[in-house]
Amino acid sequence: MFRLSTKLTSNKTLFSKTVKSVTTLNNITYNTTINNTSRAFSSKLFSSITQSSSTSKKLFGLISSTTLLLQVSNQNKDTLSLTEQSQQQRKMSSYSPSKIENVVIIGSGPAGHTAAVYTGRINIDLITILSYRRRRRRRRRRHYYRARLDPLMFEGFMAGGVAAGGQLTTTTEIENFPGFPGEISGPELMDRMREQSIKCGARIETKNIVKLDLSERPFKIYIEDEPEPIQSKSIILATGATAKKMGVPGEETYWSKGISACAVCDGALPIYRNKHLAVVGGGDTACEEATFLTHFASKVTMLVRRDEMRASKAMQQRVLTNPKIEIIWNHTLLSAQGGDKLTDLTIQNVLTKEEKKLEVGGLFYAIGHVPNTAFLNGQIETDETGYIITKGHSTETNVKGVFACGDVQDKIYRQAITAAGTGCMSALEAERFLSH
Amino acid sequence: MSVFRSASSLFLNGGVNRASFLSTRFYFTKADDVKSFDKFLDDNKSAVVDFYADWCGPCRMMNPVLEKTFNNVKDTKLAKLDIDKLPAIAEEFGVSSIPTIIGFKDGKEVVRVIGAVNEKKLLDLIEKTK
Repeated sequence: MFRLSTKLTSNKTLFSKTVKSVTTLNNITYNTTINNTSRAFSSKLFSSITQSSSTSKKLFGLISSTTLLLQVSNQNKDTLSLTEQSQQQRKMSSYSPSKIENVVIIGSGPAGHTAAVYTGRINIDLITILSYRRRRRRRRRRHYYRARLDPLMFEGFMAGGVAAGGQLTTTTEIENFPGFPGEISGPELMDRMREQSIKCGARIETKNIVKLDLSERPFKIYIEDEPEPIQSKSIILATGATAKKMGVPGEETYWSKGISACAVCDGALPIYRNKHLAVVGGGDTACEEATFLTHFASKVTMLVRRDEMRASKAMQQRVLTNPKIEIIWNHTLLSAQGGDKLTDLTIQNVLTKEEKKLEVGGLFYAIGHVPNTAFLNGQIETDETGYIITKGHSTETNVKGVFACGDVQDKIYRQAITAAGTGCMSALEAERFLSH
Repeated sequence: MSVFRSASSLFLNGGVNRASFLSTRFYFTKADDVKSFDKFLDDNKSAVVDFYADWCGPCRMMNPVLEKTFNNVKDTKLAKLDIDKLPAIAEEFGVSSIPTIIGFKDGKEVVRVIGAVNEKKLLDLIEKTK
């Protein structure tokens, strides 16, 4: 510090400039401290330093007082630095009961994320501002985007019994999603979709929605554990479907202790290693799960209710040619028994009504899905199985302003890519609806 | 400035041993082998172990909840156990579904929760381990 001052004393103007800059720095720190005590302290320090005789002492004093003031201002809890202020802002949630959202997306599968990407990128109300230039030049036009749709997505905390990202988070490898020829896993694909949604400007909240009030616009959305609902001009429902359970005796007792609805989630656990496992179902999911379980189990038995499977031919071939898989046709599950853990099942032949016991170490359901529409309380028209009815080649529901996409309205196809397609449709229809 | 503050707070605490310095930076300890798992149970009277796997979606959902809870809780410590690395311990405790969170008091299991839970249930579990 002193060496610096002796060098600078040779050039008087430079030295005085340095002193000026340091004093202005001090002034800045003085002005930013809000608390009265620190202001008094800093003013005393400042005045005492400027009154000192020697210039080198002045410089040293000013520099050291600057650093001290910065320390004081940071230690003072009432004042927040810029970084702390921004951190505090980030902690506050992105929605509030008084703000009316443009579009709220409920659900975070491929349908929800595609809708978020499209609505996040739409810019509406392009307006032209004429700016004035000095000295009588021609007015320059500046174009501004006044408002974006600014979608808000609720991805849910274990809503529908699955992690945020939907049913794809419970699959291992995805081979038929276009654009991904290499190996991509379900969770990885959903991570990428989530990243893209955020990049395109969507806000994502990890909260569950308990109720909707669609009686008047703006619609009211009730969030779990929050007293006041938020309001929205339009809603996109992408809540998907949950795996069905059979509800047989013993299911409750052995749930997660031998019985599961997700072979991919639980099949790799050590308690199922090298055991005889059973899969109930005859569709694509059942075949996929049975094939997956052969990597861990000693033997896999599939219980198919009819004498044929409804799975696609490719999946059926895979299962029929696998030496570890045995298919028991025309049988249905009656009950599950065991001691501490599941040990055997009672199965019944649907044609002869004959009962049989099957010794297993684990049971996995793959019998289909129930769409997550129970929370709507009948406000949206659904068919007898609970799937939302949409009009023709669109995603409109019976309530104007509410759009349904993905598995929640798709009984036939139920693929990730078709869900993504309907998500895009919903986004474009919502934008059209809002602009009228 | 923030470095200055954190360093000064360490000195003000009257000297901090290495374990708690690490725990101020991470909210959990990783149990990679049987030794570290046993040591974790011996060191901490009130302990919580999270059995997880990399490919498990609900386990990843639990991570922010665990971080938030254990950054605010003082006496109880969290350890994360990868069941792919230590399947023997997972089998010993009869872990049949993940995520499973087990609360230990004095090295013995007192309470267990299966599946992803919210902060409230996690705090209830932590209460039972004290």
